Formats: sequence, C-alpha cells, structure tokens
Amino acid sequence: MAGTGSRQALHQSVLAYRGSRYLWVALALCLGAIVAYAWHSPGVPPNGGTWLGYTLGTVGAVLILWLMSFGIRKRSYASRAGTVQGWLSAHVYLGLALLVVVTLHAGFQLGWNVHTLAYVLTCIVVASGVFGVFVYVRYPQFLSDNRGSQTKAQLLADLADLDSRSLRVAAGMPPEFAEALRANRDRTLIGGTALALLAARDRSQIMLPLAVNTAGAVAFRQVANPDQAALLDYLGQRLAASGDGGLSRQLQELLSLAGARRTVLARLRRDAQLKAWLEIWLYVHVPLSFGLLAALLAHVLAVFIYW
Amino acid sequence: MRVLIRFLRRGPAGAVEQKDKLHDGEAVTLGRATDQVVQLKDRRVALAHARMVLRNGQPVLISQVPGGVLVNGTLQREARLNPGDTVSLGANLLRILEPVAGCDLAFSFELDAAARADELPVDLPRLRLADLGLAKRRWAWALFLGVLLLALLIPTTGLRSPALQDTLRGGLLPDDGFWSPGPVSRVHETVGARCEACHEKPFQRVRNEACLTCHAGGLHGHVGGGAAKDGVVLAEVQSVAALDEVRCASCHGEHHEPATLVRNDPAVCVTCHQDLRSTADWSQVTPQVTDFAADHPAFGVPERDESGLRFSHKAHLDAGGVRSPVGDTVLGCGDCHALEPGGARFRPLRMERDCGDCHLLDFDPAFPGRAVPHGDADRVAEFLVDYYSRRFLEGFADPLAAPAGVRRPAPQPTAAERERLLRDARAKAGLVLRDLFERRSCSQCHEVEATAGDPARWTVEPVAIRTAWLPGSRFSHDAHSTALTPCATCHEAVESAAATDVLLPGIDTCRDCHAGGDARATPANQVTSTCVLCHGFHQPQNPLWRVTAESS
Amino acid sequence: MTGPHYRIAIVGSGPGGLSAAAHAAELGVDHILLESGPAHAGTIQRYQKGKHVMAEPGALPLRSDLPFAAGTRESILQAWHAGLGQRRVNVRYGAEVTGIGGESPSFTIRLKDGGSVTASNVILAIGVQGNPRKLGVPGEDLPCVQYTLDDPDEYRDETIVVVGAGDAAIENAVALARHNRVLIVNRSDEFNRVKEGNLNLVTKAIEDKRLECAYKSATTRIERSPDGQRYVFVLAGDQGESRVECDRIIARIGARPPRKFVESCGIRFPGPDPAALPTLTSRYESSVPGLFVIGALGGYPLIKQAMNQGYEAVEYALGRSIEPADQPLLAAKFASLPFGLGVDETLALMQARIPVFSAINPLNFRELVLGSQVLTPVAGEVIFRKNDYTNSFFTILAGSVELEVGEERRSRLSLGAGQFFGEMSLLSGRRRSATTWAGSGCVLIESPRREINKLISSVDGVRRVIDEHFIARAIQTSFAPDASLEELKKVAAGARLRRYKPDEVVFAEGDEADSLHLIRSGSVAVARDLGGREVVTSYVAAGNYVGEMGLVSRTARSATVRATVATETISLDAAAFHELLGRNPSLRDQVQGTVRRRLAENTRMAGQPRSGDLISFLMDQGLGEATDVLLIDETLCIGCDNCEKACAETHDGTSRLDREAGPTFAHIHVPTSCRHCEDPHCMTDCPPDAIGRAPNGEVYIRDNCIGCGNCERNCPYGVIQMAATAPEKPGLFSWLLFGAGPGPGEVPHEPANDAGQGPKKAVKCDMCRDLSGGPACVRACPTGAAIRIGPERFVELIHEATR
Repeated sequence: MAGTGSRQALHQSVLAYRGSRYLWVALALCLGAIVAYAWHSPGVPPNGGTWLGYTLGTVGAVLILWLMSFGIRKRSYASRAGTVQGWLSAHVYLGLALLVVVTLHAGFQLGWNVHTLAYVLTCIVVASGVFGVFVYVRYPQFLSDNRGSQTKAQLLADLADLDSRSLRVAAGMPPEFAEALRANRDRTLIGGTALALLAARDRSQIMLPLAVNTAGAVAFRQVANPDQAALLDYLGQRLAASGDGGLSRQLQELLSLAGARRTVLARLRRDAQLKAWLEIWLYVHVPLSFGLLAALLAHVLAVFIYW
Repeated sequence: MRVLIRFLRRGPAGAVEQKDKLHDGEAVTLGRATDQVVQLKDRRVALAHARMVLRNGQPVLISQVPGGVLVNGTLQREARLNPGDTVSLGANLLRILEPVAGCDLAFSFELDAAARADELPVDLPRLRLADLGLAKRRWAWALFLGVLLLALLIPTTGLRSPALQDTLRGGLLPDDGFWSPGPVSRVHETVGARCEACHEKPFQRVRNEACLTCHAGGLHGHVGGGAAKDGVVLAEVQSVAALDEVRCASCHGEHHEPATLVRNDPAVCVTCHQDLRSTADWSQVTPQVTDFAADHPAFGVPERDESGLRFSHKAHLDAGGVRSPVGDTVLGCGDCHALEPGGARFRPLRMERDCGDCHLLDFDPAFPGRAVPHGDADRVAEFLVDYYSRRFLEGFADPLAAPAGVRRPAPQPTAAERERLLRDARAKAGLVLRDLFERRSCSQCHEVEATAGDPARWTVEPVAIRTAWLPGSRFSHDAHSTALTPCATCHEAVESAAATDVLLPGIDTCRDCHAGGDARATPANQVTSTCVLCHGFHQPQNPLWRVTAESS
Repeated sequence: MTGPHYRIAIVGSGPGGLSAAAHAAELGVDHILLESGPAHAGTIQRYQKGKHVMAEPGALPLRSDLPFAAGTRESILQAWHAGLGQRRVNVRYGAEVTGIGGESPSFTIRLKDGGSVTASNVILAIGVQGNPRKLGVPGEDLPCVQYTLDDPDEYRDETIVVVGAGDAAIENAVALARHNRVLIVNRSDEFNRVKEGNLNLVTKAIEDKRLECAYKSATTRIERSPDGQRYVFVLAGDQGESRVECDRIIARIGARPPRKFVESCGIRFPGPDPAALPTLTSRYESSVPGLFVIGALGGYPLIKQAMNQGYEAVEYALGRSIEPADQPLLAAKFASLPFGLGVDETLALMQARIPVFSAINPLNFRELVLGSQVLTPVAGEVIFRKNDYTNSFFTILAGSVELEVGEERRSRLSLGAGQFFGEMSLLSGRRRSATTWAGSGCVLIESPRREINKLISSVDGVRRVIDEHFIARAIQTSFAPDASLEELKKVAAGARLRRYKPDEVVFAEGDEADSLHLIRSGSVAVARDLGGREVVTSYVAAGNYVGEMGLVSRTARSATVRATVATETISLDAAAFHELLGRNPSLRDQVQGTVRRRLAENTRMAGQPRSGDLISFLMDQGLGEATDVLLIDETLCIGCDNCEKACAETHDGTSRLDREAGPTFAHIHVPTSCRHCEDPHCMTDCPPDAIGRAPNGEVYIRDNCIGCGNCERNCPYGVIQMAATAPEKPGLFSWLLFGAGPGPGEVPHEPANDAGQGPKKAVKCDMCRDLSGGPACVRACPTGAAIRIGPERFVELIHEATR
C-alpha cells in the first residue's frame, strides 16, 4: 500500500510518517521511563510521591494536555506548526507512550480512588485511540473498494433514479405494483440508529398484495424486505404466473431494476457502516478524554490538598 | 395559544392556493403522523417531528427528533421563533409571518413544488452518526463536569467545616476518602478516616506536631527514656540541632501498599552521616558512614572479655568428646547455649543448669550424692563444717564402724569428747575445702585465692558474663535461623582455648551475606542491608547514641 | 426623407454612450442618443438583481458628467438615470440603427423604423454584445416577445414558450419551469452543441415532465389570443402546425455580432480574426473620419474606461484636444525613464524603437503600455529565472539583456534594444525556458499576457514576428543552443505550427516518420498497440519533443501520439531535423539518449498493464495540462473533509475544493480542485485581467476581480465559483466548547439571497500563496491522503499506485 514503504513515498500513512520518526521518539520516552523506574529505589514502594514519581507524573500530565491540544491544532488551519499528519502521527505514538509513563507513575498501585480513576480513564482513552488507528488504517481501502468510482451522492441519485424509473414502469401495470413499489421505497431503511449503521442491518419492509380480502380486492400485508428479497421473490412469482407477454416484459424490467436497487442499497449501507465505524470510536475517545482531564485536575489537586 | 396557519400550495403551472386555518391549543405539533396538527407528507419528517409552544409570550419551537430541526439553516433542538424565520421540515418550508391580530403566532406553510409526493428522495437523513444526535460535545461536558464534581468539588466542600465533613463521610456522597492513595498502616488505623488528623491544613505538608499529638516527646535526637501517651511509647529525646528541620514524614511514609512505615533506604541516615561534622562536633563517632558494605566502621568489640572464668570452648567442643559422669560425651553449642524465648538473644548461662551435669560439686567419695552448693565460697565452708560436725557428733566412734541399720543408743559424749569431735570435724572440713577449691572443682573454672589462717579462707573472683553484645544494633539470632546456619559460621569457638577470647564475628563476616544499602548493587546471594536493618532511630537504650549524645 | 440634424449622434447607451451624451448635454451641444433597447445600459440592466458592480481599474480617475462608483446595479442605474434627467439628455429608445452612411460632417443614420437622423459626428458605443437575433416571423415585435431574461423567479404560473436550443435557452427554460408551465422549442431533434450539464438538465426535466419540448419545430408566427389577454404561439412541426396559448415568449437564438454592422459603416479592421479590434487613432477616431468608436467595441471592456472615452470622444468630436484621463498614469509609469520626454513623445519613441510594436495603432499601443510596466533594472539584476511560471512579455527599449539557453549545454546570448523575449512562456504557458539578466542601461516594457494576446489576435504583424521568433527560439533551446537565431530562422522556415484538438492524433503507429514535433503547449499521450489494444505508455508535457525515434532510426512510427488537451506543436520536417543534427554533433547523442530513456520507460510501462489505464485516466481528468494538482489516495482518506474545512477557513469561508466530487481510479481520487493549467482556461477572458500567475505556477485571482463570472464559465473543470466573503464567525474555542456559530468549514447558513452578502467574486484555489508552508488542504490532511504534485511526478505516482 502507498506509504507503507520505508522510502519517502508520495502518499504516506500516518504510521509511516517520515519513517515513523515519532515511533522512535515514543520508544525513547518509554525506554527512558522504564530504565529510570528500574534504577530508581526509594525507601518506599514505588509511587507518585517520589522524585521519579513526580517527574513521570509531570511528564504524563504535560503529555495529556498536549495530546488533547491536537483537537485544536487540527482545527487551526492557518497554523504553520507542522502538518496535521505529523501531529496525528505524534499523537498516536506518544499517546501509546503515555500508557507506559502513567503506569510507572502509578507504580502499579491501584485502589478505589481518584488517582486510579484517572489511570483507568487514561487506559480507556488510549485503548479507544488504538481502535481508531486500526480503523483509520484499515477502512479507507474498504470504503474506496465498496464505492468504486462513485460518490455517496451519486449512489443516492442512482437510488432515486431507480425508484422513479420503476414507478414509471409500474405506471403501465396493474395498480398494486405501483402501490407495492411506493411502499417499498417508503419503507426502505438505511441507518437511522447507531446500531443499524454499525451493523449495516437492513430493517426495510414492504407492503405486498399477498392476500385477498372478503370483498375480493387485494389486501396488502407488511412484510420484512431485507435486501429487497421479498420484492424480488414476489415479482418472480408474478412473472412465473403471468401468461401475458406485455406484463412479463414489464415484470422482467422491474426485476432488473429491483436487482440494481438491491446492489445500490447494499453499497450505501456498507458505505454508511464503514463511515460509522470510522467515527464511532471518537464518541468514546473525545468525551472520555475530557473526563480524564477533570480526573487529572482532581488527582493533582487532591495530592496537594492532602500533601 | 392561538395560531394562524396559512397553507400555500404552489403548482408547477397552477396558481398559488392559499388556505388559512386557525388552531387553538397549547401546542402546534408537526409531523408525519395523522394525529399531528400539521401533518407533513414527507418521509424525511419523523412521525412527531417538532412542536411549537408559547413560553411566556414567546413562541418556541422544540425539536422532537434527536438531530434537531433546521431553523434558518442550522440544526437546533430548540429555537425562539421570530417573524421571518424559516423552518425546513424535509421538503416543507415553514415561514413565520408577522403576527396577526388575535393570534400569538402566524406562519405560512408551503410544500416545495419540486417535492411532489412521488419525487421526494428516499428518506436518508441518518447516514452519519452525526445525524443521530450523538453529540461529542455534550458528553464531553457531562463527563468533565461529572468527574470534577464527584472527584473534586464535593469532597472539597468537606474542608470548609467539620460538620459538613462528617455528613459527607456519613452519607453516600464522595468524601475525601476518595483521595486516599491507599490504606494507612495498621498502627495508625486508630486514626481511621480522619484525614485531617494528620493533614491539618489543605496544601500544607503534614507537620511533626500532628504526629506529636499522639507521639509525645521530641523526636530529633537519639536518646531518651520513654514518656507515654495513648499507650504509644516513643523516645524522649535530646535535641540535635541538625535534626530540627527533619520531618517525621521524611522517614515515615504512609498510604503505601504494602504498608511499611519506615523508609528503609540508606538515604534516611546517610544524608547526615555521610558528613556528621557538618551537623555537630561528634568527637567519638565515625564522621562519615555512607554504606554498610563500603565504609561502615568495625564493630566496637573489646579485645578480651574478662569474665573471671576459666573456660576453653576448644576443650569442650573436642570432637573426641569430654569426660562426663555418664562417660565421654561430644558436646555441641546447643548443649550449653539456648535461645531466649523471642529468639533475639541467648539466655544467660547458669552453672547449675548449663555446666552442672558434668561439673559435679561432690566432696566426699564416700557420699557421692553429696554436693556443695555453687556460689558463695564462705557458704561452702560453713556447709562443710556443719556437715562434718553433725556427722562426727552422731557417731563419735568411727562412724563407719556402726553397722548399718543397727539402732543402739549412742552413748552421749562427754564435753571433752565433744570438743575433740568438733575440732576433728573442722579439721576434716578444712582438708576437704582445700581439696575442693584448690584441687578438685572450683579452680577448674574459677580464679580461687586462698588466705591462710585458721580457719583458712578462699575467695572466688566474681564472674561477669556479658549477655548482650553490639547493643547499638538489633541483632536477632533467630532471624539468622540458627537451624540452618551452624554457629561456627560466625563464631570460631572450636579454636578458642581461653575464656578471654571474644568469639564475635567481625564486620567482614557479616559482609559475607550482607551487601550495602543499594538494592540494585546487591548480588543475588546477598542481602541488601540499609542502616535501619540493624540500627533503630528512636532508641532509648542505645549506648552508641548515648556516647554521642554526651559529647554533643 | 431625412430626420433632424444633430452636431453629435451617439449610438448605443452603454456607459460610454451615456457618458458621451451627458457631456454633450453638459456642453449644450445638440445631440441625440440612440438606443435600440427600451432602456439605457441594457447590459447592466440585465445583471441579476442586487449584483455588486466594481469600478476597475481603481487607479484610473473617472472623467465623466455622470457619477460612477462601485455599488449595486440598482444604485448605479439610478444615479445615471438621475444624471440623464438633470442634463435633459436627448435619448431616443427603441431606435435600432441599421446603418450609418455618408461622411463627416453629415452622416446619415438609418433607423429600423425607417426613419433616419443626420449628424456631423457619430460616436459608436454599441459594445460587443450585439443585437439578439430576432425571431424573424410575423408578430415578433409583440410585447410578449423578449430576447432576454433577467430574473426567472419574476414570473410565476405563466405559460411561457422558450425558443432556442442553446445553453442560454436551456438555462432559462429550466429555471422558469420551477414556477411556470414551459414549452421549449427546438429546431432540431436533439439538443446538441450545449454544455454537458445543461444537456442532462434539460433531458431530465423533460423526462420528468416538468418541461415540455417541441423538437423539429420552427416558429411560424405569433398572434394575440382572441380575448386579447394572452398570445398564441404558432409553430410548425413534422405533424404540421400547432398553436400554443401563452403569456410570454422568450427567444434565445443567439446574437448577431456587431462586426458586420461596424464594417458596413466603412470602419476597417486590421485582420479577419474575430477578436480583432477596429483600427482607431489615438483620438478614438475610426478609419472613417468623424466616426468615433469607444467602449468595449474599441477594446475597452471596463465601465470606467468607456465612460472616460465617451467624455473624451465628445471633446475630440468638437475638435478640441484634451489629454486623455490616463495621462497621469502614463506619466507616473514613465517617471523613471532616462529620456526626459513627455508622455506622447515617449510612446512615439517606443513604437519607433521597437519593431514589433511599430505595426500597432497608437491607441492600442497606449492601451498596451497602460497595462504594461516600464522597468529599469540595474545591470546584472535577474528579470526572470528558468522554470518560473511567469508569462509576461518583455520588450527592450534600451540597453541589453543577457539570457542563457540550452538544456544540456548552456550558452549565453545577448539581446539588444528593440528585441523582445519571454514569448516562449507567453505562448506555451510553460515555465520560463531560460534565465535572463538585465544588461547595462536596460529599459524594459513588461506587458501582461492578456494585452499581448489581444495584440496577437488583432495585429497580424505582431503575430507573425512573435511566432517566427518562438519557433526559432524553441529550436534553439532544445536543439541548437549555440546557433544564432538568424541561422535558425532558415531552419524555422521549414517548421510548421500545428494545432491539435483534444484526442486528435498527432501521428499514428506505423506511419512514415516524416517529422519531429516540439510541443509548444498542451501535452500528448504516447500509446502503443499491444495485442490489438491501445495502451498508453507515457505522457509528454509541453516543452519536450516527440517523434524523434522514427527520424533517428529512419523507421516508421513506433507509437501513436495523441493530444491529451488542446495542443500546439512545432513540427520540424526530417530534412530540417537532420540539418540540425548535422550542424551539431553532440545533439545526436543527446537525442539518442532521449530515445534510449523513452524505450526503457515504454517497456517498463508495458510491464505494468494498469499503469497505462491510470495514465489515460489522469489525462482524462485534465492532468495533461496541469502544473499542480490535488490528488487523494483513497486507501488513506477517511473522508473527514478536513481539507475542505481548511480551505474554507483559510479563504473567507468558502472551500475552493470539493473532496468527494470527482472521479477515482486505482484508488487515486481527483477531487474538484484547480489543476493550475499550463495555459489556464480561466485567464482567457478576464476583463480586469485579475487572474495572475505566480512564479511558482499557481493561478490566482486578484482582488480587482469584478465578479463577471467569465472564468467560472471558461474553466472546464468547474473549480471556480462565485462567492461572497462569509460573515465573521465566533472564535474556534467558543465553537469547540459551546458549539457557538458554524463550525470550521461549515457555511453560516444556506446561501440564500445574494443581495445581502456583499460583492460576489470569483474564488479558486490559489495554492495558499499567502500562507507560508504550502497549501492548507495538504497540511490539514490528518492521514496524508491528500498531496499536490506536478506533472514531473506523475510517473512516480503511477508506479506507486500500480505497485
């Protein structure tokens, strides 16, 4: 893939940015911390109160503030302070290093207290970040493959177009078809809830003239229509049943349109799904890091209130 | 509220149809459902999409969908409505009109001509998470404020007044206990959750006074007898100027898991001891000690030990064994030396218990069972005189002549005979005594001195066996597990012939196992030994300290 | 019969005409202002409501009795209207002039209504819009017939017939269909020769029955409906005649360019080129004495110029001499000159000394100099560097200039007074091919591209000279650095200048190799037939040559070469080429080197089947003429749109790029964003010459843009948009923390009424030239998906993408 090569490629992934220089920075930081920790022997069990503890604590706090400032740098577009990619690359690697630093700062002492709260929050935030990196690196490829050369807008346009075309076809057919198609269009669902987006579940439904009521007129029943299966199925049956050449032709046309519609819908869902995964982690990462900020504040203050 | 709703319908070529409708009710509901006041035929609109209410005279639009409603082009969850504002609901445009007389609110409502029922795009408002009303910002604020409140603000209120503090600690709300980095050590459990007992003032480090409220007496110095308070004894101490500034907390760390009250790193002592001169004029202590392994002075042990005894460990520990009433026996250290209960030291030796088995004090072969008491020489003499006198008086003929078991009335000796008998008895005792003191028993172990005269007297040099060595340190034999390490590892008793030998090991022997205070530098087969491993700080009876203190 | 006689007759009531009439009125000269339309300033009347009109060029003082300052269309028209009223200007509306005969002092002006007017002098200020073609059927003059449409939303619920099948017709019809019943009348059976977008627009509208269309139909007549309220539009289709009752008929069947009319008045043009301007004296007097030509027709597209000229023309017509309003400007320009001459003398001197300019008429020359800069660089100062992207044209008025030519072997040569340079970049739009230094006592005239192009198109002499030079110098730079231009002129004589349309074949595989092509502008794709399928193997940018293989190896063409975009080449026939090889032995090795390099390249490309497709894809996206293009690697792009936001935030709230829109191939996505073409389409027609090019290539729009929208129309990639500066936003933090106001890159609110938003100007990517450290879009891309590269790195990209 572009950018993964060690040489200065035109396109470089965040991880490979400038020969992943920030990876080395982060490793150096971790190494330094670990060595210091091993070498350091206070008279008491390692904790945040020793000079090393204070040092690591300060480093950690500064790191957290800097990492969070990425949100600002990302949006200060006129800023000349490095490129956003560089920042993200550093954000990723130093974020991972943070985990090591704070763990050593805590000296593996955990308990039911504000200090551990801050620690745990850090861990969750970093973990969500790691997931974020994963999707950022992995999913764009899928997105692109799925969309082909089309944009979301084009797919939507296609969908609308398919609908109006099939309605036009249905216009020259027995009324129940237009009815069913309209119902199908109206009851087609994409996304709607976070779950539906992430799972790309198709909860679409359709009204099909499946029963004949007492009056002898067709009665519509609402049935699930995942991947347009119900519609295709229904049209297939009708096609099999119909003896009239004209109707068959129209049915075949509808079938092909419905088939096309299915693929378009599938693509849209997949697209939405991937996009959702690309975003969802941020809904953990960002709010929790603000929680962390508060916890950090409490942690530092608490330590010095009861010095 | 009374609302004028003006429906506009603009056909592609047809004229504009305008239909006014007056609505009375506390709210105008907008949505796709049939029960809505304004029913919108647009799939992009939720069943119940929004509602308009009158809030003290001001018409307000409240979104019923998480994402919010487009008011003047921006998604809003709630918006005050003023004339000219536009609200778009799917393809429907809703324009707020200048208020009409008798109405609280008037709006026109238009279905976009382009959006004829069949041409509305499929309902796809929710393709991105952002459309779902999941808002990072709100969550961020909630978490930030929540955490801040629970972890900082609420506990902090407790600092204002004790009463408040107690209610907090009593109730479910988070109190300053939430700040405790770990439980306090057992000895301090009495303090319980009362943080302020030690942390008197916020942002002020724990002061020694806080400790002294329980632990009476000065702490800065090494000497003193215990004054007691709350049953906790601590040294009462003479002040050493250099230690005045030192905080208790600088040696005693609390809240550490696993709880250890005393710092055990060399630094505690070494900070001063690496250059004692700077603190005071310590004439008689090594001015510079930094590490046990490096520059700890040799133990202050005398060359000879004048116990007043004659004793050879060598002889006793002879591999061939030593004579004993029961024949030759091989002795071990344990045969004479036994650990005190507690195991720190060995119990003091007692002749009767520890030597008596072999060293019998009998004096008359004829009566083997008989033994003189051990101890005071004069009492021995008296004992023997009494003994023989009685004997001689009982059977004044040769007592041996009297047949055993024959009871016949003894003739009462005359005064003269009695004189003679007693003289003989004294003479006999004298002989036996000389024999005991000078030849047979005592002189084996004791320095005995005879004074001529009648009767002659013997004095035995007093015996002083030191029981406690290296009093400046806490040494426990038990800790060194005598079971595993044979005594000989440290005490070269086998070779020592003289009782004056001091069989204590030198510091080097200790250093075989004891490394310095730096854990990192400690080899695998050695023990890290910081100062506090052997030396206490607050030690009332510590000759080392006493010495120094006098000189200061 | 002849109508009344006037001292001065003014034809056309545009800014120029109005100004002239107003001045005449002011002077109390008896005059008449003839306007074919129903109101004055038709063109400006036709601007959309509330459009902000600029007053460029700012430096030029206004000299007119009518006020004019930047402002809304309404305010300006209002002011003029008032002015006309006060001075009691004698205007006659609806008076279309059909011809002007006679000569000074008695011209006869024939009017459409049969009447006529005589005048001693005529001032022609009819602009270039020309008169719209009339329907030419009975009833064409009924009030319901109109030839323009200002605001489609003006009409609601009417039945409207739109006649015509051009872009204008379609745009009007579709716009009207929103609120009206619309019938569009098309003479042929399809909509051809219209923009792609418009074609889709109209076909979709017709498919959706929002618009009715009558194909293969011609207008026969228009009548009042029996009730007299409405009208009946009668058209003849293949099913015979049909009648449509309607309220309004809009005819959009093009306009008749004014040139024919102008010529009919006896005014001569220098050349056949449609862009040519009538020959005028420095007093705006045409080849017909007493007949003055001012405004756009005379080559002055800006309102202020026209108004000044109106004023001056009247003065001249009255036989007074007045120094033109721009005199002070010129004086300022010449201040630095060592000659110490007056403005007019200096101009004369220039034309005398510089042969290229001698052929130009004084007026155009004055205009040229006005647009140009007069430079007096110190000796040794660099004028431009090799590979700069500047494209202005330099003429040497005095002193000398050193320049260095040649690719491998460089050689310096010196140009003397009267000669010119810089024409290479001027014509090809390519980077400068040589570095030039000022000699001693050097005085230069630097003329912007636009001015020179105007000359080239109007004055044949100039074109010929410059072309010759170009060819000679092109050959010199690429083949014979040490040969003098004079020698090369002979070779150049054997060279032909050829133009190719996009996709036109320059030469085909297997053809006989008879010539070598130096690409002057544009670029070509080299394709080879691999197993019956044509595979693009490489792409050659302007400034290089193709076809050398065949000539060197004297074999048939080994590959097919197509123009990727509109391309100009100089073709050297074999003889000339071999002569060159002969005169310069080292050239042979050089060319053979090129051949070897290309062969290697070709085989490598052939090894990567997809690379060919990728090249052709890129070429289809117009990268063939790009100098710097934004490419997104979709395997990295997370669609965060940070690039767009960055662009918007750094450019007055409007993003100049659209990330999602645009094609993708082999994961390479070409977003809608400026390619900074070698020969920018947008620059072709910019009235205030506001589009510039910086030394490192970026094409940018200066603040003196008047928002005419020409560039927007001319850009084939749709990367230019008209936008107003977005209102100030609350600070970033108030958004971050409290969600106040629109977030980064978000539009404040839907682009509603343009009136409120202040002037709309053309905006496009300017490569963030004002920001140090490169384009914001690239800097803001968190994943490194977005890059900007020039053609020189395409091959690298292709290898990377197809690896």
